Amino acid sequence: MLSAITTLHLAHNFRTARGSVDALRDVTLTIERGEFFGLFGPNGAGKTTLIRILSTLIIPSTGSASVNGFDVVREPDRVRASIGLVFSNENSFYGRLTGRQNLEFFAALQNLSAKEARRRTAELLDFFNLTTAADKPMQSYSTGMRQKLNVTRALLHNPPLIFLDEPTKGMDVLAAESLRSLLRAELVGRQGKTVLLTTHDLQEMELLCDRVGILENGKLRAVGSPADLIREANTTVVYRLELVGHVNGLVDRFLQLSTVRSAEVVSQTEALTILDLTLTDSSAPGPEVWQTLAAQNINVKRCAPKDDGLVTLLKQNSTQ
Amino acid sequence: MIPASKLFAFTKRGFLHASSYRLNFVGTYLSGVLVIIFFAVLARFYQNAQPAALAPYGDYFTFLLIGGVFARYFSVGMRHFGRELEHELAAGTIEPVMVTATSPALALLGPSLWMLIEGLVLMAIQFAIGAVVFGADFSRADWSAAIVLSLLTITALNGWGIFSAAFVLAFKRADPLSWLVDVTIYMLAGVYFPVSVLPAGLRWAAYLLPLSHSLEGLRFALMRGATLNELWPYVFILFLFNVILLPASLFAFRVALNRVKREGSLGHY
Repeated sequence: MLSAITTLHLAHNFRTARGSVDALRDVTLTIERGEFFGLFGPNGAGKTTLIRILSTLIIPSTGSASVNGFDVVREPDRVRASIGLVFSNENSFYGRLTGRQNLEFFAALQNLSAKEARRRTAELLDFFNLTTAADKPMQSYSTGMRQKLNVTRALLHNPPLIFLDEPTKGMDVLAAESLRSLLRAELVGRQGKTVLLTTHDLQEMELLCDRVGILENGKLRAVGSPADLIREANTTVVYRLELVGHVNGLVDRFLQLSTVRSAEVVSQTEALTILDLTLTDSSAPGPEVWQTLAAQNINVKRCAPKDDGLVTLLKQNSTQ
Repeated sequence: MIPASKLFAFTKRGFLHASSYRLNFVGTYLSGVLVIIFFAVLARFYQNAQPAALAPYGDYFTFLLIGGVFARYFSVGMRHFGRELEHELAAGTIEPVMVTATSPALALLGPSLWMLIEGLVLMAIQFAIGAVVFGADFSRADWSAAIVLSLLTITALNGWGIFSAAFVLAFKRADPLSWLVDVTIYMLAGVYFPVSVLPAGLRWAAYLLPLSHSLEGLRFALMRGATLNELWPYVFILFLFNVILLPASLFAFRVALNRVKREGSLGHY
């Protein structure tokens, strides 16, 4: 069976007046059909950029992506017909039109006949408890009602895949909770749809998602179930080493040590090499690490636990 | 092939939006009627002092009515794509439309459909009032020739409109040269007086505009009953403008769309 979403070395680079910004870097990811997948990360991590590429609003700089088996660059029309996108921006409707008029307009753009558009709109308005407000202008709707209508719009043509870009942003606690339970129970539980959700709300991620991808600075740092990722965050310690000189071949030597899970050169100049070392337990780097450095006559300028914002966030906010 | 249901959806959406501003909606039609009254007063004012250049056409009121009414409609045709697109960008609705199963060209140009239809309705009302109330003379009109010339003009000027939309898409603000449209239409294209009365240099400039040929041809068709056979030079020139403007504007539009999709700035305003 085809995966719902596949990306391969996907990257995107925004050019600005001051230079360029790597919004996404080498993202390779597969999301299976029927999965509720979350993209978790701080603001600017690249979550929205990834969703926009997958919904054909942005053409990626390099790499490839397919959605429901269709390539996002070569077959954008077929991709769009098979997805629904819930925007984080609540002002994405025609404010002077009623909720019903807005939905019937978008239903027509999704190839529904006038009769089918009316029927589907009425059905969804009823499901989301919006029938009473349906014939009032959109500009009189509360944030919660607009977000519900946003979800309703994404479901009009009954697509198999839904993108939710921070769907509870700006909503009060009760409205957000009501929307979350509806998303989980209805979209995935009853209708079997695939959902890709972006959020920086850890509780939302834990409550809704089967699997989560952690994005940071445009890079996919980890993928797994929320429970696994939180467990891993609690047992993982990253040390940052500042080494004198331009050091080569050290990463491979570190990876041979049983106490080192991963090693990555962060930056390198002739005078200084900065390297992140992820250990398999929470203790400080053991003697084997120092022996490896000593064997190569490498002077250590500084060694300290790295303040990893995301890991700290996962640890602090974990409900487990 | 664009489905009629989508064209209807854009038109209905445009009507609902425009008519929700009731005063503005009524004002559009009211000002359309007032313009006809202004033309009638102007024509009466110059009744005994008409230049010889008007002789080939007929009475000045009908001359003004055809020039003014068509020029307004064509002016809308030249600018509405950019303006409507700018409104959509400001409202944040362009991206939700662009992720539907609708071609990008229709998604970006569809919002202007209502403006074009409303313009046609207003034009029909203005001609009816001009003929019934103020006695504009269309007794010799060749309507089929007028329709062909109008269609060729609309498509040619929509090419300019698509250029304007491409500009808005890429630079997020309306074409800074849009003022030029009004100046050229009302000063050079022969709305208030025949192009033949312009000084030689300006006359050359006027004939570089599709509208000058269009208005001249339309006046001959509607006031003197000139047939398509007699008007073939006008048809040919307007056809040439179409052949140049439409493909060039669609190319510019495609380049602009590609650019904003690579930059990720489609919804920016």
